[in-house]
Amino acid sequence: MILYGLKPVVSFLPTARRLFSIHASGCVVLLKEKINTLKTSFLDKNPVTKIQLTMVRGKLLKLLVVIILLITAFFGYKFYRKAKVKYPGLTRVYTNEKVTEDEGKLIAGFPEIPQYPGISVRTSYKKVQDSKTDYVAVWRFQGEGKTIINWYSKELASDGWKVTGPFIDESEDYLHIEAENNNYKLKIQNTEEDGDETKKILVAEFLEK
Amino acid sequence: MRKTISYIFTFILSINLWYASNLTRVVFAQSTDPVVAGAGDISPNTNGTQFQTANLIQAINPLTVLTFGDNQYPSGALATFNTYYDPSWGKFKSKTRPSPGNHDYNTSGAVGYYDYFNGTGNATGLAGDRSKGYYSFNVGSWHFISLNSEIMSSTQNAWLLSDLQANQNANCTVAYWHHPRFSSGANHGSSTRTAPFWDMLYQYKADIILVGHDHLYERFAPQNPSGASDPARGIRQFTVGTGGARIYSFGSPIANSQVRISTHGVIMLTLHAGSYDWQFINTNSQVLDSGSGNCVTGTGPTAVATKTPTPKPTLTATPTTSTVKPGDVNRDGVVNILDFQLLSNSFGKSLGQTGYNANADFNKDNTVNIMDFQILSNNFGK
Repeated sequence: MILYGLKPVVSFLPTARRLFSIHASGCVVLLKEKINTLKTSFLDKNPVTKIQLTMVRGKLLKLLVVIILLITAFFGYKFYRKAKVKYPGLTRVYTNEKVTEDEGKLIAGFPEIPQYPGISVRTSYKKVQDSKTDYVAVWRFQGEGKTIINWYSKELASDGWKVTGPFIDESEDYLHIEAENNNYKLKIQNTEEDGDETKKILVAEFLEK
Repeated sequence: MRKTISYIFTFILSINLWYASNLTRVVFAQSTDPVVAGAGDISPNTNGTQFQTANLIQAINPLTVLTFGDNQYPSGALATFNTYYDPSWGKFKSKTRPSPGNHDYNTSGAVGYYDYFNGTGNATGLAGDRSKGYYSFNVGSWHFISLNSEIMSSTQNAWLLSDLQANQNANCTVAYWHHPRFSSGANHGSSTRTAPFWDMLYQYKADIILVGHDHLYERFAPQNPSGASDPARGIRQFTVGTGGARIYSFGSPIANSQVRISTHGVIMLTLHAGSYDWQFINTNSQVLDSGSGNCVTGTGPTAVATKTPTPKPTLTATPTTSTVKPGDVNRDGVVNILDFQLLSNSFGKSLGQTGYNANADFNKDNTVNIMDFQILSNNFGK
């Protein structure tokens, strides 16, 4: 949690330095003057030995450290929560993924998934970026889109996937489902190859958690 | 001890400022130059994500809203436009300049599309002539061309050529339509159907092409019509089929593809005199991709023997708001402590209140607030 709190601080340092030059220098001078005044006033009213003063300073320092840790933990928690929902749903920002693809079959390592009877693999892809391995497969199929999506919804659920949907999208026969297990988030949808409604395809995308 | 306190003070201040900067992350526009925003593949046949992308458009508040086809699924019928598109993106109808897609043409002649944007039975309007579906307009010094990639024709190609010739003096040119020439999408992918558009736009030094069809966001480096990298005078294509329809998946990235994102969102373009900034913003109000580019300089075609370039008229040095730096309250050309002081004096003041300084209201939301402070701090010292 503390590390999460430090991360934004480090990333914000350049801006903080710039803003600090505007605000903090003036504030610190005022703060120092105030502290000196208070200290002088306190010592005048309460004469203490050097040892006592050192003890007070030590306690104050410890208190400040605790306050800093609490503040850091608070913002760390907030940042942690924000990082957790940074890209909600099935989102990846690909910029340098390493992709391998296979025609006519599922690429090696492709996650286990039920196969609707009669469908054939057009292309499959394996993508690796930032130590995450994602997979995409495109199948050709015949028949109604809603039939195949409903079939996958039931089969995935019986295979232990947590399934949401089917969601109707563009029209009654164009649907998608989302599912997840311990390792992947999965999206399956039916569509068609470009400009040809007779070439129906099913696309599945697995994003590693 | 004093040193320790000052360090602690700095530390806490840093955390608070960082947190404040995150709270104001929804500040999209930081320039006084014109802003346009848009997406394609917008309204499914249900009350879906088009409402979230519409909220983004509302937050951006662009001068012009662009659409890149497939405005209403599944067939662009007027009834579904009125039921699903109108309550969401219809809020910006009066400033929308649409382009049609294949789903809009699933109703014969795209009657629903033209009836919705032009008015029932009207021959022309926001969507251009209903017998054509292509038109052009200007935003500031930029020229915008909306094309109809569903009905490709020699007539449209001839019109595009004449439009490009007639607008060679525009600082920069944007063209948009539905079907992408280049795409890494696993569902649709690249298509040569719009190659004639690319050829002409490249010859006449267009700068940006915006498309949809693949329900994804993809940004390309400037390239020529063959897909070869051309940093000096290539066109940058953005695929933004992310307006609300379900999201597709990517296959292998094709040449010059720089960023690929599968999520709903809109693109925002800030139009400067000879350059532009882009931001792709998701429905969580996060900027997932951003950057800047320069427009291709010079006028006239590069390698068209039959064309005689129109002489370029002398441009008058008209002062524009683009010369004012964001954060420069006193307009002295530098964003410094004086600007900070002026902003502080009008901090919290709204339009109509004593002390309100319009020059300090950088985002033009009629209030000088933390968002304006953020803009100033981002440009401090420049």
